Amino acid sequence: MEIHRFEKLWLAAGILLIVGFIATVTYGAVGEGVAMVNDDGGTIDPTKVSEDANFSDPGVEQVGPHEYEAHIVAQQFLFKPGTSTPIRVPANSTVTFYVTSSDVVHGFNIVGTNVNTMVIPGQVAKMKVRFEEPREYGIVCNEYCGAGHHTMAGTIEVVPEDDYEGGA
Amino acid sequence: MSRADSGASRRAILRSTAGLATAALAGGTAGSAAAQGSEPDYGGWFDDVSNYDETVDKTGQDTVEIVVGASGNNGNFAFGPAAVRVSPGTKVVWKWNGKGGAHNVVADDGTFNSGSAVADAGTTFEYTFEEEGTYKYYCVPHKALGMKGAVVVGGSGGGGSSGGPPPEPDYGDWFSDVSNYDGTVDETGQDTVEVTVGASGNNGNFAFGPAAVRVSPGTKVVWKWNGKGGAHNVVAEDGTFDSGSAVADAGTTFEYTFDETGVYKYACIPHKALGMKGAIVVGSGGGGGGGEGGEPAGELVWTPGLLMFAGSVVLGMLSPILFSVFLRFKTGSWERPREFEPEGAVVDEKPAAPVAEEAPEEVAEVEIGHDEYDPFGTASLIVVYFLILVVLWIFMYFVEFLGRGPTVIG
Repeated sequence: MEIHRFEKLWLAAGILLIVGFIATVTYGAVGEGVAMVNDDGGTIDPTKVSEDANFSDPGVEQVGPHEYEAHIVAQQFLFKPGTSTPIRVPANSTVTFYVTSSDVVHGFNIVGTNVNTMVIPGQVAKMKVRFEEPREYGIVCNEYCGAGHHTMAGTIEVVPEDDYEGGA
Repeated sequence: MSRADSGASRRAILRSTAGLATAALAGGTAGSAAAQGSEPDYGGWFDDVSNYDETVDKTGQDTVEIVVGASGNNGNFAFGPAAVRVSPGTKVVWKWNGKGGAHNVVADDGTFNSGSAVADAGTTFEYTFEEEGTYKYYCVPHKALGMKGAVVVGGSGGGGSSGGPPPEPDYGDWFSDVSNYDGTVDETGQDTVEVTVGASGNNGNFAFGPAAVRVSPGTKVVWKWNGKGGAHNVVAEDGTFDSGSAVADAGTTFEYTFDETGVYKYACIPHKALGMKGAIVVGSGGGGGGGEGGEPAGELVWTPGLLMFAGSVVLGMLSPILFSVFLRFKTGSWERPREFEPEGAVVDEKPAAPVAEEAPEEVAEVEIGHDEYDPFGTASLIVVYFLILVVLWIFMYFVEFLGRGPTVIG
């Protein structure tokens, strides 16, 4: 079968493109360290969230130099903390979010970023996020959770390291 | 929306009718419908609150308890009772019954705030009301569901007064220095309403008579100068209408037709400081924020952005047609497209196939030989496709995905 040399050329270019796509995804995962939310967070009894050692008094706590853990409960129609009081973390820190729901499926999305997870009752969503610069971010619930869903939002305040005086 | 509106305005009408009837019949004596007639104007606050019926009179008590998480609004998203009237100095205690999730109690004007929402039964929050007034409050997480309430401190709930006035719009302190203001005169349902300019009041003839009038939408209001008190004019506070320079002549008139509901405050510029001020309330709702105040929320407003968006959608939908028109134009002015040319030639050269008796009419077969293949044309097309792919790829992955600030790293 005769294949025109131009056809050979773009066949090669097409294969190159596919290799390129896979290479970028690999680069993102290995080079940039972009991870997916998985089931590492473990499970929890959704009816006993308020009795759980970590979620009875949710909030931010320091676990190491520049390392923090934020436990957040999503419920109709608020994030605790987040909605009434902002989640406060220092800049130049790595924050591990543990988010769970005590009623229905919610979403947890830091607006304008890829920090986004479904919050499923019974599951704890675990996400490690690095905050470099002081800035205020919004949080929204992006899973329809009831009549007040559109009001379910909160804030994360990334404050300068020197001004940080404990979490929410 | 319209349903709630008509319900609210009907309620307002009923309320005012009841009030007037009580006033007319009972006169100065204590009326049993007093509490009904003196229902405060909540300005639409309770439009979406299912468990609001009327203001519960708890005046004269030292402590009043309100249940947080009462049944209502399709669940346990209510305050029980939604509206209470208390005496000044009363301590109001909100008590959580533990139902309906986490609640809190936050005053609309920030007077009190129970803090973060909590779900635990037995939680209490208390606030002592010293100042008279209407305090609206809500539960932050469930406000949209209708979890709203109000505490009315003081007023004519004690049972001693004759049926109060119909719901008064909130004029702010507009009428605080107007001597002839004594409630809003109800002139709804009339086509033309006359207001005297130069009526007696404010220590002379420096008043509008009546100072405050309620009219139906579409009513023509005629201001008529009686020639007293010097030169007057009629100027709306928000610029809606303006009679121009002040004139003193008796018989001068100025008219304006009110189509939009709302509260229109106006004044006579030369005598404003003396208290020559008035207001026109358009619509039967309870003032500006009442049943039918404000613009319909669902109406589409054609902003330039929206126009641009709609334009591009329409253009996008029309683009195939435009493209075909372009092709038609192009082929028409140049030549017939190449693809159609070989048709006749190929068919003609084909040797006649052995025709079976039942064979159908010969089908013209078109075969594009290698000669018709245009390598440069195809190659340039593919290069364009690849360029689009690469640009989108770089944008999607490197700009949109990796370039979006903090990301999940574990």
